[in-house]
Amino acid sequence: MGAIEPREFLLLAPEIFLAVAGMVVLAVGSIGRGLAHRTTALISLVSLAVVGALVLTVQGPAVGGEAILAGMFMIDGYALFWKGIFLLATALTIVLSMRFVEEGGYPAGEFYALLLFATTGMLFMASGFNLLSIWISLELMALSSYILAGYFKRERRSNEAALKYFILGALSSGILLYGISLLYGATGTVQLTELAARLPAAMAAEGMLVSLGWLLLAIGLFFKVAAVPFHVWTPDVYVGAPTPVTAFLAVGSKAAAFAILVRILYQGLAPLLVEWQIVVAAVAVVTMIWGNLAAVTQSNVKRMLAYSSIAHAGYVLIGVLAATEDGLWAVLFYMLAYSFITLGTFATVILLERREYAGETYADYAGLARRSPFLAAMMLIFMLALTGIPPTGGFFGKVYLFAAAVQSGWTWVAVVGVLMSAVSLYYYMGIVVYMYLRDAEDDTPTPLPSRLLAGAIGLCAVITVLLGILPGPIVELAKASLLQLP
Amino acid sequence: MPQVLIDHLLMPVLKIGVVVGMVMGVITYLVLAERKILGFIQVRVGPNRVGPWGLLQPIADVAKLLVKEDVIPRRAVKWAFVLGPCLVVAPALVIFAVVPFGPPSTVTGGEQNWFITDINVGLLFVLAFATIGVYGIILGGWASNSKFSLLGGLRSAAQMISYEVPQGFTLVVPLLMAGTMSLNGIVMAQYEQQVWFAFKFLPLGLLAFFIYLVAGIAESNRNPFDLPEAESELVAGFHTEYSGMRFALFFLGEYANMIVISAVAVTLFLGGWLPPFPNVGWLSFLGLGLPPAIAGLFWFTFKLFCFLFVYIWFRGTFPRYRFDQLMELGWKWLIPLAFANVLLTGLVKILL
Amino acid sequence: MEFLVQHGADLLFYVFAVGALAAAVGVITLRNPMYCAISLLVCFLCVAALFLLRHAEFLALVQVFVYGGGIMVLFLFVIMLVNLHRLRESSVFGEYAPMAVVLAVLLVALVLFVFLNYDQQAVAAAPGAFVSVEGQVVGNSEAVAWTLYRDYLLPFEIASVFLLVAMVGAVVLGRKS
Repeated sequence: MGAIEPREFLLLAPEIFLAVAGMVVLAVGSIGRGLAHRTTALISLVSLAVVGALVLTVQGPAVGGEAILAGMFMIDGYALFWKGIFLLATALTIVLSMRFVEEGGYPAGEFYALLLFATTGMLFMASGFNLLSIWISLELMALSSYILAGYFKRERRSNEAALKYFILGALSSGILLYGISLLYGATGTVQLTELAARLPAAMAAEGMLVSLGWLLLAIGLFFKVAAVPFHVWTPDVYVGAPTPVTAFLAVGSKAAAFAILVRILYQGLAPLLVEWQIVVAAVAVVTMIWGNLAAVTQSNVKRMLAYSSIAHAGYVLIGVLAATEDGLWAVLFYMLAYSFITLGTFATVILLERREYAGETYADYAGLARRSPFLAAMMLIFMLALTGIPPTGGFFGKVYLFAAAVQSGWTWVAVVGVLMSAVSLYYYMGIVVYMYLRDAEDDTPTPLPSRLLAGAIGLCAVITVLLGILPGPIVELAKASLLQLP
Repeated sequence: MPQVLIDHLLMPVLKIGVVVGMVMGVITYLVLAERKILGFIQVRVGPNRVGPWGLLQPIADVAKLLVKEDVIPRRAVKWAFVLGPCLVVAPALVIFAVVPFGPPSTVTGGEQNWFITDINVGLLFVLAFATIGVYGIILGGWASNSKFSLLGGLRSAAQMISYEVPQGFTLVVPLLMAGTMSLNGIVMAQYEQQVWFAFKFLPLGLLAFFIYLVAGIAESNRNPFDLPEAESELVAGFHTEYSGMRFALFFLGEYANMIVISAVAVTLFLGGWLPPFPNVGWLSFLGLGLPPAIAGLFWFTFKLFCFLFVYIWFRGTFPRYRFDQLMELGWKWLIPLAFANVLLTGLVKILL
Repeated sequence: MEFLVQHGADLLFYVFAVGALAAAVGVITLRNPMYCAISLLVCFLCVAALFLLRHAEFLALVQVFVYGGGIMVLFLFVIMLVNLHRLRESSVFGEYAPMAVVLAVLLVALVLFVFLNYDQQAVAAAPGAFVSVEGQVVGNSEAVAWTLYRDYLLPFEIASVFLLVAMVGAVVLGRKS
């Protein structure tokens, strides 16, 4: 390995800028006491926009698939697509958080700074091309998330969420790292392409070691995407964490975990395709079944959404399983659509919450159509999209995923997916029923407390519907962002 | 006797014996010097009864401490109580193993180096063993089973940890300037670059020297940072319960630490055994016309004593810091300064 | 004498290995937290000596400096500050004893497996840990520096942001609001 050229640091500009922006936000938050909330949020949003521009201008021209910094950091279309998702998700999360943080009276600078640091970790994850750098960026994201989950430290549920998240997260990181170390022991490398090149020989010589290694690695990743049976942390954490943070976890963390899952499976473990396909198929089926059935029984909306997010991880795994070009771009498309849908849903939940945690039961949605027709309509769109009913992005997302699975011969998994989508209709429509058919105890219209937030919800809804009517451009974009297939 | 034994056993043991003996001797008279200088500063005479000008005073002191009753409190944790003082003295003496008192054989042309050993991680060696000394104080304070001792030990732990950080970082500056961690290598670098590192990249070298000075005084628990044994608050701090020879060991440790820190400062920042201005022709008489080894030893010792004098001078003139002020100075001033200094030195080194 | 010159390093290895193991056992069996902490310190120092025997001077001294000088002092500090008394008499593992036994047996089996299977010649022929860069033998510090700041620069830098986050988190969650 030769010396590092200055050009390589220039290519890293977006990530460096974001990390520095996080530090600036931290400093501004501690200096400007009174104005800190608005200022820090604004700085964060602006810097996210700048990072987006930097990603396009600096890394955009280099998408040929170049691994820089001693093969640690990969710039390819795949990474850029994920980076786009992460940046959008974080920006929307910040908009979602503004009122929340302000009313809770919690320090704003640290909150936004942690969000930015977590996003930095995600950007590195998207480009990670070495198990070591992937792992440490994953940790950067995870650690920030643990703290964010416990940010409402006066609330016991928030404390509980942070603690559970931290302990189980640390456990899963340990498992992940152990898997990596075994793979390193068997092959002598953690660089993904080299790993793929050396795996067949290592498999012949140290079969046990390699199998154990990649299994542990996969388990660690399943923990992070919250797939059954490694999902136990999800409901408590999603319910306990401040709702904007929950949205961030459900969208950002999950997407980032999928980004590395796919890259590791497709590029690092490519020679083990047959083996990991079986495992992924099993996990996908169990996840879809368990996530949907458990969601049916919930009475708390955030808890239901937690199980729903588990179920959606199952759907995405179907696309991963296919291991074809169609499967891959379906995953990308689906994660993009899912991000907007989920963020919109949580934004609506936030608007309905009166204090930190009230407004989370189904009963709180009774008669919403009369109290606030706008919110009810938005929620309707998001619920339709989560179920996968046209004309929403969720519909096409699922169609593409299932189609890819069928094409590559995993029809039975796709069938389970379709059946479980039908089950999910029950609980998603439960909310709709409450909103439109039940009467509220008091009929006074709920005013919209924040125009900005309402605007964000509207934006998410519009994009959700647009993706359902005109999926073409995004599909083309996703098709241009593929990885080399195993 | 085979040559391998002479080279690897006899000579090192001899050198170690000489160095330890010298250090002990210096310590004994350093105590007297301190009392004399303090006396001068406070316009009084100082010890003058035992021998001419009190020159035999240290011997009397040592005799007194040796024959005193050695008390171990009944509720004390005996092994830790015994181990504590040893752990203060031993690491300080070990550090002298890497201090270059004089030039290496490549300069003198002789067979022997004028230091015990030269390892390529010397600077880290100094830092690592300096930190071990903290345990002596903590253990001693804890094992005494007395609240004053415990508080003294706690304060000491907090203080030493806090000041280890700026000390460690400021040592990176001479390391960057020399490009090596070997102490002998650092002196040789000053020899080759014809400049003492305290005066290189002005004011960066000087700043590093200043930070090291302050942190070093704090690390050796001396005035104005002698809070672990602040007698007006904690009786005598961590060594309240100690008496006789064990107390003397703590005492010895403190002075040994002073000498270590002075020796390291002289080596890293003030050119070690190099005479001043070796590059200015008409000042070559500072080499004293002696063989380089002897001149080197002379200049090293001279600089060392100057530094020790500064120590004592500080003690005579500065009031003691309050604990929160001490922490604030360490964390809010010295550490950021040290960071900035390392950064700037690196930049300057790359740009020049 | 001849024996000492030839096998001195091996002897030292066994001395420090046994020391490290004994201290490690002490950490988990001793009742007084102060003794546990000191045992841990002894264990760290023995491990540092083992590093030294493999010519990893840099690692050895960093081990002493960071673990011995920094982390363990903080441990002792906390133990002294909260004035922990002797732990109540209770079985070391409690109800998890069966699981602990199973895991311990597995671990021992793994170590034995590695011990019996490794290529002795290859290990003996390999240079000491971290002393060569691109075939050139350099000092241990240089080798570590090359590894950290060139080959693994990116993870290293991410780790620094990671530590910043840890610090911010501790302050945010710990301070009284």
